[in-house]
Amino acid sequence: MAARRALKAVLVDLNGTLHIEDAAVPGAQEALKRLRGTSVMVRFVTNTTKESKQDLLERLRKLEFEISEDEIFTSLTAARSLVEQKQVRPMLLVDDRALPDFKGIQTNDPNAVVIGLAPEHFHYQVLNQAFRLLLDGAPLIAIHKARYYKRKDGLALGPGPFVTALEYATDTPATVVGKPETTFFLEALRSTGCSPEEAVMIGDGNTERQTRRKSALLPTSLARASRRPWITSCSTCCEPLWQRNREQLETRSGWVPHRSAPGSLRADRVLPLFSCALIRKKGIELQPATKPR
Amino acid sequence: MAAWAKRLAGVRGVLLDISGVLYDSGEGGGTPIDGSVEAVARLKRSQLKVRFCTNESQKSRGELVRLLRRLGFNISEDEVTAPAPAACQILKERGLRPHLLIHDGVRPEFDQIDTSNPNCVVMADAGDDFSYRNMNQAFQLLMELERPVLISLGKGRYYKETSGLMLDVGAYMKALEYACGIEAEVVGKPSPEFFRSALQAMGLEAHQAVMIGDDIVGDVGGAQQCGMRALQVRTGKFRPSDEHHPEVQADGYVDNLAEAVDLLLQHAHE
Repeated sequence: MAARRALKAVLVDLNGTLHIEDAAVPGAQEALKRLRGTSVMVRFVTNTTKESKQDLLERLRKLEFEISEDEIFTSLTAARSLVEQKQVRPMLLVDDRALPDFKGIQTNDPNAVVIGLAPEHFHYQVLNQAFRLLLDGAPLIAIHKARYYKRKDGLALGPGPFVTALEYATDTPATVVGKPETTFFLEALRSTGCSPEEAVMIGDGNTERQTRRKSALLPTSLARASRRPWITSCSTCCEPLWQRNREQLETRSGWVPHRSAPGSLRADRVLPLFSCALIRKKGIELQPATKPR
Repeated sequence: MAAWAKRLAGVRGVLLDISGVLYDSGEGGGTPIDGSVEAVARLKRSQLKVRFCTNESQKSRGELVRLLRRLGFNISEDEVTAPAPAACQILKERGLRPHLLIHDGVRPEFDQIDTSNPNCVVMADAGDDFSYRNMNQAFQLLMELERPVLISLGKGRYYKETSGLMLDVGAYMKALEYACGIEAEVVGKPSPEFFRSALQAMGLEAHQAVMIGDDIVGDVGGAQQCGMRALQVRTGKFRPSDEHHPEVQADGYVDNLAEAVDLLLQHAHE
């Protein structure tokens, strides 16, 4: 029997779910408004190594989404959070545009290395400097370990290979803080005060191939070609719930469960799910509306 | 006297690592390690066969030997087993045309190799030439190949220069392996073929030889896996934690090459 669990927080992926590049996903603004009408806390999450929160905020506001800065949680935020927790002074190998997110953090006489997508820093002298710090015991914090990304002139090396190089040279693993690492989701939830069992993540499944299954936060195989939003759950408790109710979900909502991702559903429409009777009926209750957020 | 030195009985030949044992590279070419010039001279005067077994891949053998001779070492090119010639052999055998991710210093070793229309990547210790741009070029090529082949001259994690420790080819090899989802082929220590070719050049069997190196895994571990004895020096890239390595236990730990040679000359003929 599925336990009735109150849904208290929602993590919403940005690119691919709320918007695709510079265009809003149709219906998303409306869906967000309806979401605000509930008492659910919302966080907008994204892996980025070169957009500061301000940049993201501007882009989203231009697309007419009502969002405040403290609702945005990026992989850069996660990195900053970790740096603060460890009380270290990082050597920041990140894009210049990401620096505002580290404002106020001490960086001289570094005793840690933070590494994001920053090709301008990935040449020998700088990496060697980082290597020497790490060999002396400094922690290595990686925003994420993407293998490569697309540029106009083709594929280009991401931060992952250089993180791997440093890990090998120093025989110490990096702490990766971006999606789909558990740390990322837990940190994003921390500011809501909710536990994973009380939260749901909505994403488009366009996550790197190396998804970890440590916490059943995301399905293991994702349809990269598809840009349609997935609904996944943050806790293993929710997975059996979706599976048991698959048939009803199909007929009631027109959603198609995707074979390769047990425990998640492919939605043809994003976010209206919150207003869908489905949620209330299938054991996830929305708290009665109090103040809109 | 070290009790373990008795283990050196029966040794007929010595394989010497170069960087970190003979000298530390760096400014002006480099600096000989204390006692090493004399140690090599003593070895040469003895009955023991001597061969140099190096993963040096920033310079050609010619350049390396010229530099070492300038520093006072008794060494010639035909006494050196190095990875670039071994790689060229493999390229010829397999009809491979490489894109070279290397430092210009070692380019002469590849003069006889066809590098047009590359169908593989050969990487060496490129040092400063491990720029993002050069790495990306190699990466893009590998991704375009139907059957990507990546050959790495050694897989060392770091080595010592006079200014400090330096990232070695192994780290960059891992970077490309990760980026492309492939596994590189290693030419050089610790690959067994490499050690065997050095032994062959000396005309000795593994159990008759001892390797002296500063890399606990690449030199010592690699040599032992081939059936040789191996000594770890406390010069070069050595770090105290190497004496408690979880996987490799050297046959002996010596302060430097000079001490190793002292013990060898005392015990090898017992």
